[in-house]
Amino acid sequence: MLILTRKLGENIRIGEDVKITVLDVKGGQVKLGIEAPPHVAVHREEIYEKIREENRRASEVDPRALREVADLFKGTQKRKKGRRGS
Amino acid sequence: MRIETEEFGSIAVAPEMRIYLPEGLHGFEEHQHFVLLDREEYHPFFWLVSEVDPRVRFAVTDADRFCAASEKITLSPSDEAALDLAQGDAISLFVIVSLRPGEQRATGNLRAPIVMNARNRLARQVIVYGNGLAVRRPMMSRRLVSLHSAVGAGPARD
Repeated sequence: MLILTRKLGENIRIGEDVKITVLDVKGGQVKLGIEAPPHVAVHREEIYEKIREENRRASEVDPRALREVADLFKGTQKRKKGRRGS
Repeated sequence: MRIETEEFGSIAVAPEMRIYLPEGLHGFEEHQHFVLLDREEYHPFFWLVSEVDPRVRFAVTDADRFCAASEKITLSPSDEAALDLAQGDAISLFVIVSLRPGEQRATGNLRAPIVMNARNRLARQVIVYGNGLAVRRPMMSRRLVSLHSAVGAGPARD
């Protein structure tokens, strides 16, 4: 891992078109400004972790349980249609 | 082509069922080719079954089940490029569903829906931000059901 020390207001450049600026340092928190072209996705690491975890959970859905939920949903729709008709 | 599965039996794969995710799904990067399985008994859900290993499968539903018209999802230029999106292309938006074990409560991952270009079947699990776009948004709540009926069955995308 490349380690760089930067002062407030200083930047790091990654490649030609990504620039990261240290905007604020307070307590244990660092505020960064990120300038990147639109094709570069910038997200907090936690969001990737959260989505990976949710995908993993979703991959374990039991088809029988889902079928029961599907039946419930179909029931709701039927009731709604009935109400509209009356 | 056929896929043999334990859970869904033998699936005859038609070209219009196939979805190509060049980057896979987050945490499942090695699964790039999927089949969208539409079985009446699971409606309003579909199954996204991996062609690489059919034991890997995800329940999905149409994002319209969750989204009011005001919650249009904005794609980044990087997403548009990944989907080779051109003017006039129609997109399909799927939400991955999960269930809490023992509960008949479905949640959808609105933070990371699957967007597919209907023209070339190219898809990507994108990350979007906005109010109510949670990783586990409840699907069956009364509020959402009434919200859905209030906006009608019209698509929340364009």
